[in-house]
Amino acid sequence: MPILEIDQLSIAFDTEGDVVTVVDRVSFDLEAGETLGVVGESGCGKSVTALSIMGLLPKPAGRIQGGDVRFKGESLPSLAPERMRDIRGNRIAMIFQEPMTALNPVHRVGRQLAETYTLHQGELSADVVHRRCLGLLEQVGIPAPEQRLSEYPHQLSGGMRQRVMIAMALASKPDILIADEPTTALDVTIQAQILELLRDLQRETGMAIIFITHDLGVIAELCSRVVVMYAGRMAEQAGIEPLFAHPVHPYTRGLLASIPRLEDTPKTLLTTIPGVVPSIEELPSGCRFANRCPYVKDLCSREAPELVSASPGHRVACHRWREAEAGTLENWGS
Amino acid sequence: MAAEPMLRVRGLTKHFPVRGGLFLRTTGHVHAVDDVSFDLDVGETVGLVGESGCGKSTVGKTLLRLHEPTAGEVLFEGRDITTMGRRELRQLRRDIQIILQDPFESLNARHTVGKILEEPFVIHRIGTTQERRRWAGELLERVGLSPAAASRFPHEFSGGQRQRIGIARAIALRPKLIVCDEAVSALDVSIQSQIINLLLDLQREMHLALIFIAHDLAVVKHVSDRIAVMYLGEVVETATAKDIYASPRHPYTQALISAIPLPDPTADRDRIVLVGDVPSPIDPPSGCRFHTRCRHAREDCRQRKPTLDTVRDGASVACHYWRGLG
Ligand SMILES: Nc1ncnc2c1ncn2[C@@H]1O[C@H](COP(=O)(O)OP(=O)(O)O)[C@@H](O)[C@H]1O
Ligand SMILES: Nc1ncnc2c1ncn2[C@@H]1O[C@H](COP(=O)(O)OP(=O)(O)O)[C@@H](O)[C@H]1O
Ligand code: SF4
Ligand code: SF4
Ligand SMILES: [Mg+2]
Ligand SMILES: [Mg+2]
Repeated sequence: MPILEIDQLSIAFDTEGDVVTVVDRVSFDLEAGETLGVVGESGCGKSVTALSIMGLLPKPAGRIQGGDVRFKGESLPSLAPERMRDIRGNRIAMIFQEPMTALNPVHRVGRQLAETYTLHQGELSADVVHRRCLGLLEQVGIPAPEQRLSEYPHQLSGGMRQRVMIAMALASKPDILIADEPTTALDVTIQAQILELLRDLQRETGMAIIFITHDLGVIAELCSRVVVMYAGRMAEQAGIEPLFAHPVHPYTRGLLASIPRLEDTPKTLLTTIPGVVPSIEELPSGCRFANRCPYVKDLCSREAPELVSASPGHRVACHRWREAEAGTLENWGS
Repeated sequence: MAAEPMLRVRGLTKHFPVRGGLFLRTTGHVHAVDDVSFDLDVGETVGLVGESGCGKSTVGKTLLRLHEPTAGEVLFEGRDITTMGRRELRQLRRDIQIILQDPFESLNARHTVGKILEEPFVIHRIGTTQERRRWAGELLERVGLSPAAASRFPHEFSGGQRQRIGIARAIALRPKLIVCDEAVSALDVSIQSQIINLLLDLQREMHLALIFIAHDLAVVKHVSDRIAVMYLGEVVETATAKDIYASPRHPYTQALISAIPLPDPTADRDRIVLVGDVPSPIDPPSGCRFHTRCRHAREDCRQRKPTLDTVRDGASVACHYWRGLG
């Protein structure tokens, strides 16, 4: 059984009397110990999906409108608040793009880490807590950990702050780590360090990771399976190699075609996806990618494509998936 | 003097004072930019790449005189920008434009897009009211927006569309050079590629020279003829865009390239993971500034500062031992 099941999850926000559905029937599973990537452009619903798993949707505006999230078979949205707090603290942890939003700027790193640690491990002697906190900082590769414990968050570099966040997330030895763009604000050499750290920690602890990013490079580097989202819906889900070698959904194909690559000839025009994502207020009733899709046909604007299984482990929401799968759809941009 | 490039930057240096203590005395200097030199020709693009804080934006701003340089020379069409008076600078601001990550950070959000685009003509007293309005519409069309956008406000547009408006404003006075400072960095891939293509098109059409600043080497490589890699305020390597990826010479460039996640799960490569963070630019390391993180560093790298030596036409590297690194 998967450790986490996202089942037909829909999320809505109440805004000025209107109900806006921002995530529409998203379904995917997470297996114990795996790294699942969630990719898509800004506003497609990645963070909101993550927050809803954690029971942290902004209240009162945000709510789960339909579907379910099950952790080891147990439905999370229907849990009592204390039980959910327990799961959130001990079983599922989350890290964010900007650790400063989660760290308290007026408290020393050591105090915050110690508080998180005792929250999870119960009352322990100050000495034991101190030693464990040092251990956690060492585990996430922070040099001079003793000194760091007495520093304030603003004294740390972006990369070090993210390591502290990871240490706090690890304090509870979670089964699942949800990482929402944790390297997006970091320089590429620091990103490489953090990705390596996450890979090592996963090997050591066996935790499962949901890694959210807009960067297909990071996905290719870290994940074994990937969910592609577009405008609040799932476009495609596949194992990492099939997704990059044989993307089926036109959005995925366009996205892969338009990335500038190091081996490209400089100053040649890039392949593009024309147009822009429709705004959440003006979503079409049919396929949400229709206004940008070179393969669009009449049916697409009438009917939203369902997520179907194209091959084992490969799901896609496109009316023309059979042609794409069979290789009879022309290449993107040709 | 046919050989004179359009822009010639020599020894550009910018130190910011750091103040502290009770009387806010200067207690040190941020070595934001140290001894940076490069040339740029009509229709050409130089890319500046490096991690945040390495001085890219300061180079861009200093050569526009948005910061006063500490030392160095910036010759634009033979005239030194660093010694220009107010009148000359005014003309210069027609010839050189800058595009930032969010073009509306510095603009009045209460103005319509039309007004924003007419403003450069107003400032430089060009055209009649009617002409300006027509030009604003033409600019919008040129960057791929509907002329009807003129009556709307910046916040009604997405990030990519806002950047199109920023570009429209930048090309309004037909500049000769545009500094693009992280102009596409905040955009989603599908929009980023549209904007890159727009810049490449405009460059060809208007013979624009570009200084393209970004931390993403794959993007910089895609729009540049030549690239300068910066580390802690200094240029450590220059090469053609093609060569920098195919045969990086400086250990920092090599690490930077190897850290880029490739969108290819079958890629099999040796990752050079740099240890530690970039040191403080207030008190940069002695000798070679990269020695604290360089895996090839030897004893004398701590003392002896490498100079940026030409290795062949258009390529240079600042490392004592680059020859032996293969
Ligand atoms: N607090 C909120 N109130 C109203 N709408 C929101 C709120 N948070 C997010 N949204 C909307 O939900 C959609 C998905 O947002 P998000 O999950 O943050 O996207 P992503 O993380 O993929 O960039 C967006 O259209 C966004 O505007
Ligand atoms: N106005 C300023 N005053 C003081 N220090 C500055 C100022 N602007 C930039 N710096 C410092 O100069 C260095 C280079 O900054 P910057 O040019 O913005 O780098 P980059 O654009 O490569 O990220 C950094 O250490 C930065 O903190
Ligand atoms: S359903 Fe139609 S419009 Fe949507 S992605 Fe498939 S072909 Fe394109
Ligand atoms: S000079 Fe020495 S420390 Fe600097 S890059 Fe070369 S080998 Fe490394
Ligand atoms: Mg997000
Ligand atoms: Mg900058």
